[in-house]
Amino acid sequence: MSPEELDRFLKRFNDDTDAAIAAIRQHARAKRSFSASPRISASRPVGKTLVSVRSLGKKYKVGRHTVQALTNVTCEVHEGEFLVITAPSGSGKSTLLQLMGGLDKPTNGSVTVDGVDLSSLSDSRLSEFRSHTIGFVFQFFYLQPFLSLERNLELPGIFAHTKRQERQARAKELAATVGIGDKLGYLPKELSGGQIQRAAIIRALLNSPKIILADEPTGNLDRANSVGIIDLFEQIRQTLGTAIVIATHDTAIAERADRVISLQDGAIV
Amino acid sequence: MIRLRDGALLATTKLRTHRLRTIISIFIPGLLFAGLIAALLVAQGTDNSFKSFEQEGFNNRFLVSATPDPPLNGDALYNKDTQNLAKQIYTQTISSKKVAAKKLAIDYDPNSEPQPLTSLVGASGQQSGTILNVSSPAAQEALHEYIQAHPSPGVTRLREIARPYHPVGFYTVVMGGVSNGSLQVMQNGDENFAGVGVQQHDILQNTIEAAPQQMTRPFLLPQQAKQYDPDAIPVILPYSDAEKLLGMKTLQSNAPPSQELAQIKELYTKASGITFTACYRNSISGQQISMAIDQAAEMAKNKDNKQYQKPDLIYGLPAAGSCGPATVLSDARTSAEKALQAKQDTFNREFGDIVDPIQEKLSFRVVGLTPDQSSGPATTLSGILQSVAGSSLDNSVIIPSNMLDKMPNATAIRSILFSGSADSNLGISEMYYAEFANANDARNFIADKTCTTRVTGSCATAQKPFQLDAYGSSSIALADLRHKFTTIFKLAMLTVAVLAILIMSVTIGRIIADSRRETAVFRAIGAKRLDIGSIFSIYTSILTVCVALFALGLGFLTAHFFDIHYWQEATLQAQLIFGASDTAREFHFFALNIRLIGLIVLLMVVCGVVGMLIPLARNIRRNPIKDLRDET
Repeated sequence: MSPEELDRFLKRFNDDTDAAIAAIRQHARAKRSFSASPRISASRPVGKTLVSVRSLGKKYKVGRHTVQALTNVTCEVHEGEFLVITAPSGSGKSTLLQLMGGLDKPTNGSVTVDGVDLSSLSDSRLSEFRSHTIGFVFQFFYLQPFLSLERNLELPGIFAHTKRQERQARAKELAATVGIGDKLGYLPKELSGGQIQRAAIIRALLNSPKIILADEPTGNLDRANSVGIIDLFEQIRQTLGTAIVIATHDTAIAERADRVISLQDGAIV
Repeated sequence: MIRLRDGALLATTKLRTHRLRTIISIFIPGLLFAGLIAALLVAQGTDNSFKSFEQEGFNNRFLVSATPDPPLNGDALYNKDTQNLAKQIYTQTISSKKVAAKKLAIDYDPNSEPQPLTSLVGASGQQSGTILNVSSPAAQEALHEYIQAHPSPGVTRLREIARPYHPVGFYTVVMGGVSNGSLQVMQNGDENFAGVGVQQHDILQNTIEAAPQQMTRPFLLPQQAKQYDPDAIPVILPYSDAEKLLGMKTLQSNAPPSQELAQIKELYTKASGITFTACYRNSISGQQISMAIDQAAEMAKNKDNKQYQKPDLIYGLPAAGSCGPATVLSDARTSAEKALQAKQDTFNREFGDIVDPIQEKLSFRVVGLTPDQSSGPATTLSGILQSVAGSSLDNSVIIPSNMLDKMPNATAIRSILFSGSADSNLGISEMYYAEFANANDARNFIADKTCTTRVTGSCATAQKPFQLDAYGSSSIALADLRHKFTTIFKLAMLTVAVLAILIMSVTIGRIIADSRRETAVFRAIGAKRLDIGSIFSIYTSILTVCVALFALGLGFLTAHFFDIHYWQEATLQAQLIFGASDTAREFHFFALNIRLIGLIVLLMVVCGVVGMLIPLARNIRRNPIKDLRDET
């Protein structure tokens, strides 16, 4: 993305984010009063343990070198918790997130999600488990450029073998929640940056996961928009009770979290 | 596993995402397969058309001609026993003639007898040996004895040596020839007396052969095959003879095919059933005609010369259309002279010489036509093709022997037309032909059993008494061509398949590689490896269907286009090449072979699957996170 394009994107995103937050709040008020989002005090778990990470270590090769991405990490995520993993770039936060989501296998240690040890699952069962339990949000959105917004939102349902009518209804409901219900037939290139980002977030919600793992979701956004997105996550957590884990190097986001885990050179500090 | 409809939805997005690669994946293999399909359709059409035209002539038959080792080779002429026999006959003849001449009280000069031997002179000018003088009656008799002692191998021998090769028929063709006389076509019913005696026969300057119906049937004109005329000898003529007979202008060798075909069509229309007459004269009859012409010329020249003395016996020409004997215009000989001539005739008769003039008018009926055999290297396309694929009988006037034998005077006709065959063919009076069911048997028979005839001497072994050649058509060569084409086509299929697999493998591989991030995202949101495999399988299936449709469409169009543009020209050429008597036959380049087309479609599917398998297997095992990490 060129600087000019980035500027345009951010401008559109800022406008859209304000509108989206307003839409969510309006929708939430109509459904149940969630406009007031109570802050949960930092470092205080809110429910039973959903993710348990024990003595986790991860090495991988980059060229001829072996990188120790994580060293002896132990932590937990609780139901409905808003956890931020913060660390400078290259400190292992994305790796921790991916291991929590079962996208990668740890070199040592274990990850248990919703009582299931991920290492005990076959690749196929792990995919199935991930499909129903974990939602991912990426920094670069990764919407399919030649699928309509509706089909993009349906994707997790497709892989979860959800009935077409059910996943379509769910996609419509979620899109309406974040103010893009009238854009379902559009291709991603016809949407604004803000609409795309919201679509990427609600796509992760399609199968009603217990936890959302977001890797640098505000990595390309300015402060105001970052706040808007964090508001959105927080409101999702409030509304749906979904645990949110965000990996970011942005310490400002950490201020909004229930709890913060800091990593330094692959270890919790 | 992901539902088919959903998989198709995701697969089709790849067609749009990787448009250029998709086009390359479809276009290049499609082009290759289209070429293969077009070649197959054209080849099948060509083959079908060939088969249709092969119904003409000998083209669907595998005939082998067997030329016996000629008895009258160099050995006979140099053979000391034969030479001694000739000298002995010569001495006995002189002795007998002296006695007979004395008895008849006529003069006889032994020096008038040709010597049976001729001296051979070496480079140094010295005599290096002797050879039989074939113009000497004594030498001819000695040679006749030699032929009797060394008979040519016949059809029985041919049967014996051909048996292991599963022959399906044997035929004998009798070589014709007029000895001691001439046979001339009577143009417009009139005899050209100037040509009498100049050549043995001019009908129509080709040799005469009598062939069985198994060999003549393909060349008979449809309307003539069952007709019977007891007074006319049935003949199959080479095109050039028929043209000459009908007074048609012979085309230049570079005449356009359309003109050639028009000429042939005209020939087939006009030649069917036409009759012509020829006049046979033995040597005495011919001499008398020549004498009449010479005498008339001499007398005209000396019309005003009072010193000129007319011959005692003056011959006159018969009526031009009669083929009658020379008339005697005046005979001023004395009784003694006539008596002496009578004694001389008696003497000549006693020693086998012809004395009485014989002439006979023979009627012929054209019952068939055969293309001319090319005698030199072909210079035009049709000439080249004709030499490869054409079929014909020998460049001879062929008499169907079964039709000849039905004629009441068949024996008399044979005695005229087949009187001198052995003399003019090195002692060979018959040719033999073996027919085989397939090219392999014929080819193996030729390869194993042919003998290379030497100018002098005979074939090397008794096991190889014939010189064997493919005859009448290039059926054997065409069968080889078909076999080679099949081999080449298989190789082409293999090459195209390998290329298509490579191209599809590379392009699909690139598409899969380019889709790694997308795959990783899919995996992150719950897709199993099997789901990813299904999406790419569906994608490859769509590609394969596109390749197949493109290839089939383009292949059919190309072949159809080729057919539309060239069928008329090809029909023309084929009718020329095969000498088709059925001028309604058409040569098309387009024919469907469902089995082979199905095979190519199957090959495309295999190429698609194989092309997909390798990159898919390599990529599906990748860690999705690595791809996401690489991306970020």
